[in-house]
Amino acid sequence: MSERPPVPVITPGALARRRLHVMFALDCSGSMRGDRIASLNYAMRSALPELLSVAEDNPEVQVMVQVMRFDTVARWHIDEPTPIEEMEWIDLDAGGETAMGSALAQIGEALDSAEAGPRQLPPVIVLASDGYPTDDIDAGLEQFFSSAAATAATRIAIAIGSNTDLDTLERFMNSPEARLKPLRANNAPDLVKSIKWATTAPVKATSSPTNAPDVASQLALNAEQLEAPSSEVVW
Amino acid sequence: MSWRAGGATAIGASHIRNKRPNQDAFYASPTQQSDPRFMICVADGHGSDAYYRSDIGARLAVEAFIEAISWNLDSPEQINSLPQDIVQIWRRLVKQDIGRNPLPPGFERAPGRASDRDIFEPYGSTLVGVAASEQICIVVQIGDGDLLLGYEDGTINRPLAADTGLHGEQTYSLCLDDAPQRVKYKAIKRTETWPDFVLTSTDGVSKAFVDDAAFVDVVRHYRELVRSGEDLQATINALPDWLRQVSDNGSGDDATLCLASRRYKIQDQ
Repeated sequence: MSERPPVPVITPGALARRRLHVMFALDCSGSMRGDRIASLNYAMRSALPELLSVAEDNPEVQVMVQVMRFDTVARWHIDEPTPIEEMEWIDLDAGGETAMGSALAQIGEALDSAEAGPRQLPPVIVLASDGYPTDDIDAGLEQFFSSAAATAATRIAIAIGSNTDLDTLERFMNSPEARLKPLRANNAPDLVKSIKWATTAPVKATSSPTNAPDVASQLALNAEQLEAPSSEVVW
Repeated sequence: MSWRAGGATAIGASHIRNKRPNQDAFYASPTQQSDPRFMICVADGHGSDAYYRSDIGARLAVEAFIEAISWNLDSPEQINSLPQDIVQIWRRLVKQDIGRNPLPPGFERAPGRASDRDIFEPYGSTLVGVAASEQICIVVQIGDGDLLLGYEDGTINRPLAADTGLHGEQTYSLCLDDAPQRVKYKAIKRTETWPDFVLTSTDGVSKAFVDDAAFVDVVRHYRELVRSGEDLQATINALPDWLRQVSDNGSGDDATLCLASRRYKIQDQ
């Protein structure tokens, strides 16, 4: 009689939670001063616990967060991928120009150097901006999309206020048949709602096992529910 | 030359939390005694809300495979029609199911779309299968999942090329308009190197492992177990718990695995 187990023994370390990178690119230019940057900070503070809650609903997935800020230059606000359980929000301040191209280029570079492969979940990238890029956005987008992970990512853009470069945000989203549109945040409650949705809905959709031909269509349906403005006050 | 096969499935932890059924399905034959022919296949119904009948779609994918492959094993010269056969049979079975259980009002056709895809979409599923007669071994796949063959010299390989043109968690599916073009298949003749071990599994198994090498290592171990004269039935009996362990500690997805072994040392005959 053999003592050998009838199935392979799984060695420690052979199984692993899949990582889901959530990256924010946040506009901190001069036009964000005052109510807008305060609302953005409030929105991030409110969204992170909700993201944690979504992550806890999907314990097989390890959600990691990184934050890029851009004003006259683009630089990491939270540069190491940080487990959502350990995230503490540090307020952003505003001033300067809008180096969005450099921000996207750096994110593409970071994605290239991150762990990748078919078993890793596609990242979620949230871009929020209230203006027009002041650096070379074409070069930035080109470098961003040269990363396979950036192309595979779920990309959500939030247009803050009414003077936003929607064309650039749509190029960033590059949604098939333009099914996903930039979210519009024309006042503080809308911004909070949009950041919360952009943080949690794609993570929920991405971290649940879906293996479907088209993950974006479900998100697009979900996003339509956000369209009604929640306040008459407009930036 | 004879084969014996078996398989099992385990519902994923995330499906239990989200109150979804096990959306995988499988078939394995022969399970009770060895036979010159075998068939194994697994199907993985898509998980998001749009695919709300994908558990049925996966079951119908298995039925379509059995019907199409049986005919192709008897008429291997017609192998070129296999992709079309599988998709047509699956579509016929889906329409029959809708006949018995109509789609909810408003779900018959999505606005702005004019193809039958809208009635097939709720049933969307992948399919990975292998079957052999004494003359031919046929491997077939649409969408994600794993199909590996083992050989007498201990090597393990994937006979079908990986899909291209997909991003992230996307997969090709039986519900797509161009499904027949997305079906990959290969016929291995008896005159070629013949596998002695076959494994098919849904992506919930391989994605639980830290990398592909760790998964292939486990496949190699399965081959060694069932080829070394261990009791295949004991392996099959232990599979559900093993799959649950894999899903709970890795993917969280439904996990389904079938295997077949040639010239199994028949202890029960």
